Amino acid sequence: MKKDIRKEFLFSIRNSRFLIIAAAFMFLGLLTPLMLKVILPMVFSSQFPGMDEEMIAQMIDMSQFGSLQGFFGDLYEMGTVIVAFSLCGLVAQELKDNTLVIPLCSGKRFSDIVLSKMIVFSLVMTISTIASASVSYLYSGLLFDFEVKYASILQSSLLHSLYLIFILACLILVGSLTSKPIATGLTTLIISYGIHGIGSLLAINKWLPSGLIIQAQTLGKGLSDIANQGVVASESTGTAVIEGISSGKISNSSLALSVTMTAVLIITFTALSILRLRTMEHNRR
Amino acid sequence: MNEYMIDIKNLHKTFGDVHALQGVTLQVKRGEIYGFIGKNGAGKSTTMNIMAGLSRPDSGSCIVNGHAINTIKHPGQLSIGYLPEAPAFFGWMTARESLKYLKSNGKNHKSVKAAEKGSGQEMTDIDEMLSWVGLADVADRRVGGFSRGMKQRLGLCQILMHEPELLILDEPSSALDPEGRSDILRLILELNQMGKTIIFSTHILSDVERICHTVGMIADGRMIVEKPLAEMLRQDITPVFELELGSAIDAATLAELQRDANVQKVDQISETLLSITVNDEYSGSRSIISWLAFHTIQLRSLKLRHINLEELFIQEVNGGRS
Ligand SMILES: Nc1ncnc2c1ncn2[C@@H]1O[C@H](COP(=O)(O)OP(=O)(O)OP(=O)(O)O)[C@@H](O)[C@H]1O
Ligand SMILES: [Mg+2]
Repeated sequence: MKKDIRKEFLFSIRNSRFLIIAAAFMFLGLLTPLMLKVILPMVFSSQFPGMDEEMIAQMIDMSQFGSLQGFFGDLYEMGTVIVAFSLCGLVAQELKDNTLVIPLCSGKRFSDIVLSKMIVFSLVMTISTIASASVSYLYSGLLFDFEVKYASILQSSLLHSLYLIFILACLILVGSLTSKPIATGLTTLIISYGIHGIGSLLAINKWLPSGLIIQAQTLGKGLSDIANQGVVASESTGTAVIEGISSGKISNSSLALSVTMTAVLIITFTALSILRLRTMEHNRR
Repeated sequence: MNEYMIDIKNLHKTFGDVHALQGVTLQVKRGEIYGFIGKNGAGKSTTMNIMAGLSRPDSGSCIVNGHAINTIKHPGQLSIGYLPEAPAFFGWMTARESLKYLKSNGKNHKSVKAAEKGSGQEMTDIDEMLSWVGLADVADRRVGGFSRGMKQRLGLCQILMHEPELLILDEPSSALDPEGRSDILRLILELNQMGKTIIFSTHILSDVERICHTVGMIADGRMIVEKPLAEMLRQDITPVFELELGSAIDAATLAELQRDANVQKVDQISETLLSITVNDEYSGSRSIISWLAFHTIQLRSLKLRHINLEELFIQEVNGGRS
């Protein structure tokens, strides 16, 4: 197991997977506050010359809170795509290239192979999320005001990381079923957005991993508070707000529900992946 | 312990509507080198994949190192090293790292020197292994940049890292230059001397002739023949003389040789090259020499050889005892 973890870690470094994910997240972390502070007002004032700064400030949430909410929204929308396509080959490519054949015959266990991928890339994503959220926190604080507690940023980052770990488990499962990297990435994205769509449509997000995304975007405030404020920072938060209104106050129990459901799904997907790898034929053409 | 390292009976395997294996039966004894030969698409790789525990047969029994293939949970249980036809590597690892990754834990470093003394010792020291196959200079280079020959050698090292008893090598010497092929054959021989059982597939028959104890021939998913190499070569021990003449000869002269009672067959390979199959070496050579002398034919070279595996193989495939 130690050797497998070492191998996955080397892979993440040598093939720039760590770099791609960390850099992309970091980019989002810096871009969102900048958009809000500089670019959006510029766009507004050039489009509507009569508009003064106060009116613009009423339309968009020019605050650290709004900025960070926007960041987590972007992290969901763009971050998921980046993760899906940079990690879609974790298992699929190995099956496609038959790189597992010699290790398998040499006694490497499927559970070690899958679990070490889960461990290493969970860490990669968690570290990237926390780091980029922290950077976004600092930068937005400097541009606006420090009004959000860092502890809630940490909590949101962890929730979001758990969501990304769910995406990882998905990538591994679909990869072991299809052995096709690109198809795996696309399928996982469809699953991710599909879950969110259905969850919002039927207002059952708290039962789903997508609940984590919504929770992460509340930045610890609770959805009803946001609804009362009437703040709309980004499109995806919009969904969150609407759901917040329709389902009333979201409590800690629904957070626990989302976390538990996601954890169960992660464990199930991982177990299914191992089972699939054990029963399938290897070294196929 | 079973006498056989691999005991396969009546193996069938289909891919869609391709009936790849149609009752393969094959037995590899412990400690021997087994040459598995057959044309492209005959079913060698399919059979070897099943032996390696990576693929399940449709029917038939396959026992490898005492384990029935259908009952194992993981190929690792078989104590095999499998070098597939087109081995795939983690190109981003260095040769040394890739060996470290596969090295089994908890076993002590035994020396290749000890192994060479024939003490049956294993060798898993990475540096010794790398220099054994001639990759010491590139130990810290990324495998992605290796040539095919280098990859084949590295593959051979990789499958030894966990000290397996049986090596399954799928065309280990194809796609290598003659020198590379000789090297691989030498390595196989050395591994056999260390006590490993080895089965390797090939369609290069001279490789089989050089190192194998037993030969198995497969065609269209069926075993045609399986025999000790010596027996295989002895049974059709018909001697053949290869003659190179100084100048071309006419048909009448040739016909005269053909009429000789000691001569079975005369093949004119080129104008000056003759291949003469005779009943036995002694009378055959006398007939040939007196024929040469009578017609004052200039002789460049004369060589005696026995029918080789290639010719035997062609005989067997084309309506032998299938
Ligand atoms: N995964 C597969 N799907 C479909 N057909 C297959 C598959 N694997 C093997 N076959 C078929 O099974 C037959 C035997 O193939 P196999 O690879 O075992 O031959 P081989 O003896 O190893 O040939 P070669 O010398 O070219 O390596 C071929 O007709 C091949 O097309
Ligand atoms: Mg083959």
